[in-house]
Amino acid sequence: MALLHTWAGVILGSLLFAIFWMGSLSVFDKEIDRWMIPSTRLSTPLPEEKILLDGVISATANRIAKGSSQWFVRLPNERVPVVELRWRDDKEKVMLRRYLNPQTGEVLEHTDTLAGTGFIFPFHFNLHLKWKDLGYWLVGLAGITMMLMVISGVVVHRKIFVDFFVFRPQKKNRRASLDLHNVTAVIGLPFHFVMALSGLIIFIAIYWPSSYSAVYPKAKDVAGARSAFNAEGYGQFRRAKAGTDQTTLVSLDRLRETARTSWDGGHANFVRVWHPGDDASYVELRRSYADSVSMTLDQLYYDADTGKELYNFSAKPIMSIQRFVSGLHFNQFDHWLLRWLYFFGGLSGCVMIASGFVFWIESRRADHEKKGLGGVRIVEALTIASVTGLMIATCVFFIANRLLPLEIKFAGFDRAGLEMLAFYCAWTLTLVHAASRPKRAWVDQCYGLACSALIAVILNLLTTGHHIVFASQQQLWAVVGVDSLLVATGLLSFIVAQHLRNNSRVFRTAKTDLPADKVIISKPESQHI
Amino acid sequence: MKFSANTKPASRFSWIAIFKIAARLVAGIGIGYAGCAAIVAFLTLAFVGLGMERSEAVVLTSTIGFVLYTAQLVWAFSVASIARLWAYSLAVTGVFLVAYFFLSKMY
Repeated sequence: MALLHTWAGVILGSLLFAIFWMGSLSVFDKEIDRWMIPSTRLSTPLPEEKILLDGVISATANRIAKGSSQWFVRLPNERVPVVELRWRDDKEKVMLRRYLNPQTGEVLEHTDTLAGTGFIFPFHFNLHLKWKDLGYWLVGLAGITMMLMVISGVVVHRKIFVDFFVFRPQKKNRRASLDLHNVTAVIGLPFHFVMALSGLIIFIAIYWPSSYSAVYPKAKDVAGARSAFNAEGYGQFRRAKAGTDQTTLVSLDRLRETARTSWDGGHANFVRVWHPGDDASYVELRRSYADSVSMTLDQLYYDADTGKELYNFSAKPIMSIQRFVSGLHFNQFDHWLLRWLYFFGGLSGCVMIASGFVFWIESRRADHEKKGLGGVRIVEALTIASVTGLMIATCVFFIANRLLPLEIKFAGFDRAGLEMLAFYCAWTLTLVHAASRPKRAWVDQCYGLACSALIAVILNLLTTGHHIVFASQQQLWAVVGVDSLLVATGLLSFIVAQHLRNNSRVFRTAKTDLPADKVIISKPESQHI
Repeated sequence: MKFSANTKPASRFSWIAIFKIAARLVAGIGIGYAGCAAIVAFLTLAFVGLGMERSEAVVLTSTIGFVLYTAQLVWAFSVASIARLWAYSLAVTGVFLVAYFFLSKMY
C-alpha cells in the first residue's frame, strides 16, 4: 500500500494537480467568463421574471440563427447578467454564441474566447483531448487513482489522528512538507473522496460502455447505444423538419408561465426553439436548478405554432440520485459560502499533491545524487512545471485574452485558438525552464507567477478601465473577485519567492548540512507512514 | 506487504521487480476493468430481466461498477500472490462473460 501510494502519486500526481487546479478555478468559471468577455460585465441583472423573450430577443435570435436547425437562450442570473444566445452552424457543425443585453436585446460586442466555461471547465474533465475520448479516460484513471490514494493514504498512515495536530514548518523541508501533506489530506479527505467518486459517476455514459451496450442491442455500435441510453435516461424529444414554412411563433413568455405551473413554481432558465421557421418547429424548456443541489432534468416540449404540450420529461428515481450526486460535484446551486469552500477544498488538494511531491523529492535527493540516479531531477522538473508552471500558464491565458486584438487570425488559429496556444506554449516553456535550471526553478517561477498575475490585473485595467475599487463601486463582483484573487496570487508568490531565495540553503541541506547518520532517507515509507 | 521484494526504491535495477509490478498493473487495471465491465453488463441484463427500466439499470450498474473497480484495485495491489491475483481475475472475468452471453441469448 505504501509503495502504491508513493508511485501512483509520482506517476499521476501531475495529472491530478492539473485536474484539481482547473476544477478549483471552475468553481468560478462564470466569473472568469465575465473577466475575459468584458462586454458581458453588466452590473445590475434584472430578476429573471422581468425579462421578456418575446419581441426583441426572439427577433434577434431568429435573425442571427436564420436557417439554423436550432437556437436557444439561457436567461440571465446573478452570475451571468446577460442573455446567452447560442445557435447551430449546420455547415460547420458547431454551436456559436453571442451575448445579448437583457433589457435592450442588443447584441454585445463579441470576444472570441473559450474563457472559463469553454476552456478551464472542460480541461478539468477532458483535458481538451477529444480523440476517442482519450481525455475522459485519462481523467477517469486519475479519478479512480485519487480514490485509491485516499484509501491507501489512510492505510499507510497509522498515526493519522496524532499527526493531524503536528505541523513543523521550522523543521527541515522534508519533515514540513510531509506534515503539510498530512494536514491538507486529512482535512480534505471527505471532500476529495466525494469529488473523485461523484466526478466518475457524472460520466457513467463514458466509463461503462458494456452496460448500455448490453441492453440497447438495436443500436448499431457503442456510440449508438450510448445516445439511445442518453435519450432515454436524460430525456429527449425530437421531431423531424416538415420542410414547409411557418412564420408564427407562440409566445415564449406564455410558455414559461405554463411551465411554471407544471413545475409547481419551478422556472425555466433555458428555452430552445427547434427548426425555427419550419412547420414542425417546437420549443424546449428546461428547469433551473439554482435552488437545489440536484441537477434536475425536468424538460417540457411545446409545439411552436399552437403551444400544445408535446412531451414532459422528468428523471426516474435512480437517475435522480445520479443527478443529486452530479449536483454535489458541479456545485451550481446558489450559495456563495459553499462556492468558496469548494474553491478552497480544491486548492487544499493542490497543496496536498504539491507537498506530496516535495516530500518524495526531498526524501530521495541525497540518495539519488550519491548513486547518480536521475529520478529526482526528472520528478522535480515535472513537479515545478505542474505546479507553478500551470499557474503561470493560466495567467498567460488571461494575459493573451487581454492582449490579442479582437479580429486577429494567425497561422490558421482563430483568436480563441491563439489564447489556448499561448497557454500551452507557456506551460511547455516552464517545463523546459524547470529542467534546465533545477536549482533556481522554484524561485524563478514564483517570481514569474507573481509578475504574470499582476500583469493580468494591469492589462485588465488598461483595456477595460476596470480596477478593483471602480468595479466594487459598480458592483461588478466577478471582476472584483478575479482581480483580487490574481493580486493575492501575485503577492503570495512574490513572498514565497523572496522566502525561497533567502533560504535557498534549505533546498540543498539534504546533501551538505545534515550529519552523515541522518542522511538515511532511502526508505521514506519505513520512517513513519 | 509483498508488493515488491525490493524495499529500497531505486537502489538496484531488477527485472524481476519490474515484471512483478507490470503483472500487478496489467491484472489490476486491465483485466480488472474487463472483469468489472463483464459484471456490469451481466447485472444490467439481470436487472432489466427482473423488470427494471433499461436506462435505470444502466445508471445503477455503472455506479456499482466504480465501487467494484476501486475495491478490485485495492485488492490487486495488496494481495500477496501474483499468481492468485491473475487466476482470480481471469476466472471472474470468464465466468461473468459466459453468464452474460447466456443471459443475452434469453432476450
